[in-house]
Amino acid sequence: MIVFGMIICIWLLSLWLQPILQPYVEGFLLFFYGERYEAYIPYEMTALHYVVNAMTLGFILGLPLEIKYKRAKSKGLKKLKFFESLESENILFILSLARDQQGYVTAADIASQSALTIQKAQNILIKLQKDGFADLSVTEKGDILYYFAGFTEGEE
Amino acid sequence: MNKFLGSLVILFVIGVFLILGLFIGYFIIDGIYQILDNTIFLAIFMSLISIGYALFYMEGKRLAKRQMQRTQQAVAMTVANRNLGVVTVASFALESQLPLTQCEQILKEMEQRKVLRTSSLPGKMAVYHLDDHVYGQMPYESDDNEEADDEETQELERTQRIRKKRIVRGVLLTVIGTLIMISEEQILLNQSEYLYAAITALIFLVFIGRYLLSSHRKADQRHSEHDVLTYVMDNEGELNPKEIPYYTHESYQSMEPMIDKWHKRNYCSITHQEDGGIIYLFPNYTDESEVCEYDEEYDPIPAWIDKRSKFLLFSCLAFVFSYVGGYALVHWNSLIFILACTIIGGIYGYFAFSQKPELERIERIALQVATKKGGALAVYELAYNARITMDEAAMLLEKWEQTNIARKVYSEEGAPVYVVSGVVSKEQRLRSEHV
Repeated sequence: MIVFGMIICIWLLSLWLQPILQPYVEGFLLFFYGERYEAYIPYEMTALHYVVNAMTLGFILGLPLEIKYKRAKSKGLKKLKFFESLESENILFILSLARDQQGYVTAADIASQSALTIQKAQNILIKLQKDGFADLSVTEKGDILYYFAGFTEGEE
Repeated sequence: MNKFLGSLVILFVIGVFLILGLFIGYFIIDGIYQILDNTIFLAIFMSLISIGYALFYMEGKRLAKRQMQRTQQAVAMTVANRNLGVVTVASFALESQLPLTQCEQILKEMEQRKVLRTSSLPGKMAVYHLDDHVYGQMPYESDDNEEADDEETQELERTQRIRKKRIVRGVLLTVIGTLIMISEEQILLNQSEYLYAAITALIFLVFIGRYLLSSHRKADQRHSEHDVLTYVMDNEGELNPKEIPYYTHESYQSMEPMIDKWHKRNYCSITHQEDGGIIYLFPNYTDESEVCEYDEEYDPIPAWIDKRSKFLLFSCLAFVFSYVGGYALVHWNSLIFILACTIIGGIYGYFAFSQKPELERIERIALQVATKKGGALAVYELAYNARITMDEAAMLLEKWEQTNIARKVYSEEGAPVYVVSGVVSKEQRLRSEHV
């Protein structure tokens, strides 16, 4: 996918930059090399030129990058570390907070220790509870707590 | 004064470089215009590269999927083992950093395979418990977090990388040179010769691609089976399928068809746990069966990358060959072309069909195992020690049975062993009677 993405990027970039840069490049060639390249100038680029050049550069630049990424990903997976499709930082922060507090967390806890507002924290917690990832719990005073199981040792 | 002189020297150096740059640029710009004129040939070359890339893409995707599934399952088991056998979507997501919905899906899949069980009511958050036969009965710790890369291996990898880079540069320069040299007029004039050379190059490329892909699949299968057999040996001949992702590099999905095949072909026997769980038995399979040690860690992704890079390099060479071959047919004697084809075909044939040393190695190892085990060896013992698939090991032993080198004996446990004739212990030799 890195190679394919690179090809598309280079193709779009060349479609945009080619008409802008071509006169300057040709002017430079005429100035320094005189009549040597007159037969070529102005060089007419066809659709095939754009596609093939993008493919060539895409492979030359993208393939080493892709190999590096795949090797690193494979090494990471062997060490039980994931590189892609990760959960949002806000949810991971809420979960780490829940772990530190034996699974119980409130919107106020989150807002006091992160950049999230109480409203945003509340919305995330409600969504997590609706999706079945958290349970509701109420204190004697009537405060609502959200409980995440799995952070208390040996729970049933 | 010194500053003035220094500035003059810098200006002089810059000037020299500018003049040199313009002079060298002369050749480079010529080459670029020549390649732009030959875009149609560059298009043919890039199509070749793209087809090669696509061919290996699916294989890479399969390997990546297997590796991903195995890691997900191993992380879930690790989390459960750390927390007295309990894992939830939340604790799994925090450890793995994967999305909650994906974590839920993984845990449900593991529940279906009876690795995890849950007793939570519908509508309440699910708490998963690791199977009792898996939790707390880990015979040894997983070695995933070990720092395996020592200095010597890194140095070897570095030199290999430098060598590969040199080869890649050399081949790319040859392709660029070919693209500059190609003359469209000449090719159109001698179409049939160039077409003939291109078809020959393409046939070679197809054979090489097939060989690289099949040899990669074979090596991958061998390593996968060896990985599982190493775990079985460490587990005193017992295979609990639920433990597989924790101790090997296989996932449940990749391992199931493999073990099912082993059982169907009678390479191992089966027993049931009290809860209905299956345990596969490999009788008398302990570290006493080991005659060859394999230390190096196998990683399928870098191995696949190496094979794909090789194929892409061969695609480059095929492109060069089709031009050089066509040129040779037009300008030189066609005998040179036929000779070159024969040499390339010979080299391919040597690599593709030279199995004799491999067979000798396997037979030698089989005899070593048989000697160590008092004359009898099982399919899995040979497969592990020779690092081949169970099917390959069974094929060799069956061949031995047909040629009366060994005889098949069914043990009480179910899986057959092969008793090799002529493998006699020292005591048996001394006790033998003279006739």
